[in-house]
Formats: sequence, structure tokens, C-alpha cells
Amino acid sequence: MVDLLTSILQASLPLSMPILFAAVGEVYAERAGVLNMGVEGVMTLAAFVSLWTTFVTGSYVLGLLAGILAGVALGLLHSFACVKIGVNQLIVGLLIYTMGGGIADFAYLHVTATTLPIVKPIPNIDIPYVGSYLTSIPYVGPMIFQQNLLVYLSFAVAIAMGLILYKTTWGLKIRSVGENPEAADAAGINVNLTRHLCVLIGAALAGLGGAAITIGYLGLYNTGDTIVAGRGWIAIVVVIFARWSPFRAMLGAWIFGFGYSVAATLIGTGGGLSVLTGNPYFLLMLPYIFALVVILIFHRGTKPPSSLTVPYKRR
Amino acid sequence: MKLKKGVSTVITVGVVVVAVIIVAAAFYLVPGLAPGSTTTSTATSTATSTSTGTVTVTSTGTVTSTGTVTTTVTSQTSSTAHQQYSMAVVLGGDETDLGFNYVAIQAANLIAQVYGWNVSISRDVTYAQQGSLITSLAQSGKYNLVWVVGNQFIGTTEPIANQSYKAGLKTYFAQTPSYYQSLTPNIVLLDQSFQVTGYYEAGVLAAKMTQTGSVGFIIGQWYPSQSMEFYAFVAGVNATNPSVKVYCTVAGTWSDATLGLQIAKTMILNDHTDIIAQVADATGRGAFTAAQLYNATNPTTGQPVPVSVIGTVADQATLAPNNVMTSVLMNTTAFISDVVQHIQAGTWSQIGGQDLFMQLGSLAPYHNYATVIPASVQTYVSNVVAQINAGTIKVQQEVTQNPPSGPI
Repeated sequence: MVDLLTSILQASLPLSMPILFAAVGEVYAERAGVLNMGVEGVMTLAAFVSLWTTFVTGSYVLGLLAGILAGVALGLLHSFACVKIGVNQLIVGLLIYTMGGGIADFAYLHVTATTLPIVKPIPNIDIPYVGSYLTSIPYVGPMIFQQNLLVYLSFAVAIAMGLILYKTTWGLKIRSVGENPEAADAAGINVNLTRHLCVLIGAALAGLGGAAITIGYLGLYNTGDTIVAGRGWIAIVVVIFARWSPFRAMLGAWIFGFGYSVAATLIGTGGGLSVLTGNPYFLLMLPYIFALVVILIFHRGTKPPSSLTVPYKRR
Repeated sequence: MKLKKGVSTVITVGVVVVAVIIVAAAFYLVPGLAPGSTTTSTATSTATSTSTGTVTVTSTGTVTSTGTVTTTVTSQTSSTAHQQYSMAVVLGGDETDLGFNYVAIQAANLIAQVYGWNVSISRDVTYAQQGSLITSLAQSGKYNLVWVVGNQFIGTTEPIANQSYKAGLKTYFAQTPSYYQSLTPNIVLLDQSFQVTGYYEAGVLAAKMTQTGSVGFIIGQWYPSQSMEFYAFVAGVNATNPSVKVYCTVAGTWSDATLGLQIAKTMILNDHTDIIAQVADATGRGAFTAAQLYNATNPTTGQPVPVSVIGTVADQATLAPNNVMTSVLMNTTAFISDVVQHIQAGTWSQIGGQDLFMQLGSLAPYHNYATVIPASVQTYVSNVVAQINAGTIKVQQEVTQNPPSGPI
């Protein structure tokens, strides 16, 4: 049982990592007033692009950059349509979702005609000198000190983005654009430029989240949304749970990652807890039940940015 | 100012529209590679005019075999000079699955190449599209055969065949696999027991090769065909080394590779499984990654043991060349070749309305494991295969309502 708990805790962080990247990015976009429902599609495209780039170049760094760029490319489309033109953000997001997955699957089908891109995932970091001591700490040792770089990066990005959003002038501008774009405009802030940038940041981080799944965890790609498998949608839920705060997004992403880890580990025991593991469908609901319970408990004070989904046109 | 803005908006909208058109066109420039689209391939046979005899038919009745069906396909042509046959293939995925859809496409292309049939393939057909697509293919009158591949089509194809029969349409249907009852004469099914012998052989190999005494079996969902495959695997293990434990895990989904990785990791680290067989489509892909990342532990010696995976349906060695011991292949070509030959020979009545029991499972080459698996083990497995083919070993087809709750 001890090993099982340690295994669950250790797996919860890499499982929350892609959600956290995407959620922090989406926080920025929504704080500026733009909703991106296409996060799943962005992550899917980035997942394939980063895998393929890593496979071809042999470089994880280039793979991650390629994933970010793939996200930015779709982000450009989204910001152009929603911020520049003023098209309904929900519709554009759903189109982005479909397009991202379609482009990725199409490219993968083309690629696999001649080769199969498989890479070894980014390995865990081996902390010198004290590594074995730290990982031997019961329960939390492996969870905190036996992860790959992207896991630590995801939390570092969340903290950094949170500090920027709440402690810097630019963060204040972003929040004011999302709450009252007219007032922000009157104060001399370029509302649409701010929104463009935030959407691109959101898409870049979603791309990083997608890349994290393939080159940071699985090492492979497969068509039909079987790699991202709904984590983009969960990221959007996490944004709401987090009340549009990157700090709380860490907790939200981890709750879902933990729930998923519980489900997957219990399913994997194949009989240790026979009543539950006899029904994997129940276990697969667990992460979503966790998320729902948490949202219900913490629903007070959940107020989205006032101008979310509302295009801004200077009068 | 307003005019400038208006012109700017028109220009930008035009750019977006052009970009969308270019992307959409890209999907159609390469035939058949857009989701849900069809490809048509026609093999051009230079020998059509030389065929004067009848086409050899490999069976004259219901094909029932206790051994493995092997297919030797030699170049053949339509039995009637100049008659062009056509087949539509309906798939729920595409060839990138390196599984069910992949082998079906390979078989379809072979039919086009060897028999000269026109073959049209519909990939990534969703649940919502199933009924209308199969119906339209049947009603089009263009196809002699509509071949539907995948468990998700069971219960859709058969009623449509029924309606087509009652409407007097000449199209034949084939469903792979199925267990449907009350069939009309215009449809033939491949029974879901098609890989039972292959999994028995895999169980034998796993029992011989495990160093920890624990092997795992990951299943997407618990269906009768998966139940048969699992218990055949267990039978092979028990017949070889009854002390080996078999752990069964049902993932609950076919389409989450991350879940598959976590499940496999748990089995490796908690149950010490050092060989994992998987029948789980995309979910099973995670097992390949887990095998590369984690070692099992020999509970007796405490030493780490590398983990091996057994692939399914197609040769999946490319997914993890140093960790795939073998795969349980599915000789789909044998089934569809048989169907095609009956159509060409005009002997459809011998198979129509029947559920064909064909053992299409066999073990793939060992590839990198050829030097890892001892010669004595390879010989042992070969002997088991020979005994199955000879009927000396009969593999039972066991179906249970639920998976086992603990290791067997």
C-alpha cells in the first residue's frame, strides 16, 4: 500500500504538467478578455510537431521550441480572428480545436508512410550528491525529487507568470484590459495589442503543454486525439477553478493529475481493490469527480474577467 | 478613416479566407489522406487477357480451422475476362494504428494488386457516420463487396445488409469481426475468435521467457473477443509453466496512451510483470513506453529485469525495437481473399449468411529478440504451433462476463 501511494503521488506531477502549462497560458488569454476553446487542438498539433522535430534533429530543445511555435501559429490565427476581426471566440476556438487535430493527424499519416517517429522521453533529473537521499524521503521524496525538467519548469512558469500578472505593471495592464477595456484604453493602454500578445502567450504555453506530453512523457504520437486525450479541455476547467490565477492553477492542475494518477494506478493493480478495479469506467470518472467537487466547494468568488469573450472596438 | 478601416478589414478577411482555402486544398491534394475520405486504388494487371481458367477457391464450405490459416497468394485475375470487381472498405481509423486498420488496408491493397479489384477505402469513419456511409456504399451499386472492419461496426453492418437484401440489392457484405446472429445470405462474418491460437502461442512464449514469474495483459475493454484472447493466453501460460501468474487489467478505454503508460508502469513496479501483452489500441501504446522506461524486479533475487511487450494484430516491433518480443499477428488477408475468391467464382452461397471460424493468429518474427530468446525456447514454441496446426492442441474459447479480479 505504501508503494502504491508513493507511485500515485509520483505520477501525479507529470500527469498535471501539460494541464498546468496550458492552464497558465489560458489564464493570460482570458485575463485579457479572450477565450480560447481550441486549447486541445493547439496541444495536439504541438504534440506532433515537437515529437517530429525531436525525432529528426535529436534535440529536445528544438522539439520544445517547435511545439511552442506550432502553438503560436494557431494562436496567431485565433488572435487575428477574435481580436482583429471580432469573430465569436467560441466558434473560432472550436474551429482551432478541429483544425489543430486535423493538421496533426494528417501530417502524422504522411510521415508514417516512410518512418515511425518515436523518441525516448526526457529523462528524470538526477540530483547530484543528495539525489538518492532526497528521493528516499517517504512518499514525497520520489514525488518531488524524481521528475524530469519539464515538471519543474511547469511549476516555475506558473509561479513566474503569477508574479508577472500580480506584481508588475504589465500584469496590471493585462488585468485592466480584461476587466474594463474602455478604461484601459482611456488610460493609454493598447487594448488589442495586449490581447494579441496574451493570446499568443496562451497558445505558446498550450503548445509547450502538448510538447510535454510527447517528448516529456510518452515519446510517441497517435492519431485520433489519443495523446492529449481531453487535457486541453481540462485546462480550461482548471482556469475557472483557479479563478484565473496562475498560482491556484497549480493546485487545480495537480488535483486533476492526482485524480488521474489514482484512477490509472488502481486500474493497473488489476485486482488489489477488486470492487473498484473491476470497474475501470468508475475509476476513469475519478479525476472529473475530484475536479467537480473542488469547483463546487470553491465556487464562491468565481467571477470571470468582465470583458471575457467581448471584442473591443474603440468608439 | 472609416473607409481605410473598411478596406483593411476586407483585405484581412480575404487573407484569412485564402489561407483556409489553401489548407483545405492541401487535404485533398494527396488522395485519401484526409480524414473520412476515400481512396481508390486499382491494380493494373498485365495478365488479364491471359487468364482462361477458373480461379482457384481455397475452400468449398464453411472454413473451420483449428490451426493457423496461412495464405499463399499468387497472382490471379478475375474469372470472367474484362469483369471489373469493386470493393469498399470501411474503417474506424487509419493505418497509423499499426493494428486492425493497418492490416485491413494492407489486405485491401493486396486484393487490388493481386486480384485486380477496384478498392475504395474510407478511413476514420465515426459512429455518427457509420450507418449513412455503409448504406450509401451499398445503395450506390458500384461495389460488389462492402467490407467493414472493426468491433464498433457490429450491429450496424448486419441490419444494413438485411435491408439491402430485402431491397434486392446485389452488394455483398463482410464484417470483421462479429458475433451477430440471424444473418441474411448477403453477409459473411469473421468470428471474433480469430486470434485465439495466436494468443495461446504468445502465452507459451511468455511463460518460457519470464524471469519474475509474473506476466501482464492489458485490455482496452472487456468484450467476448478479448475474453477469448486473454484466456487463451492464460491457457498457454498454464500449459507451459503453471507457477507463472497472469495479471489482467482492463483500461476501460482504447484511446488514452497516457493511461496505458501508467497502467503498465503500475503492473511493472507493483506486480513485477516483466512481459506485458496488450490488446488496447492507442492505450496499449503506453505500454511500449513503459517497457522502455522501467524495469521489473525479480522478487527472488531483487535484481532489475528488463520488460518486454507483446504487440497485437500487426508486427509492432518498430514501436520499441529493443522491447517488443513478438506480436500476435492477424492474417486478415486470408479472410478477405477467401471472400473475394468466392465472389469471383460465383460460389458466395457457400459462405453467405455465415460466421466464419478462422484462426488467423500467429506470432510475428522475433526481430531483435531472435538472439535473446534461446534456441530451445524457439523450438518449443514452434512445436506448439505445429501441434495446434495438427489439431493435437485444441485451444478453448472462453468467454466470461467480467475480467478476473486477481492474478491467475
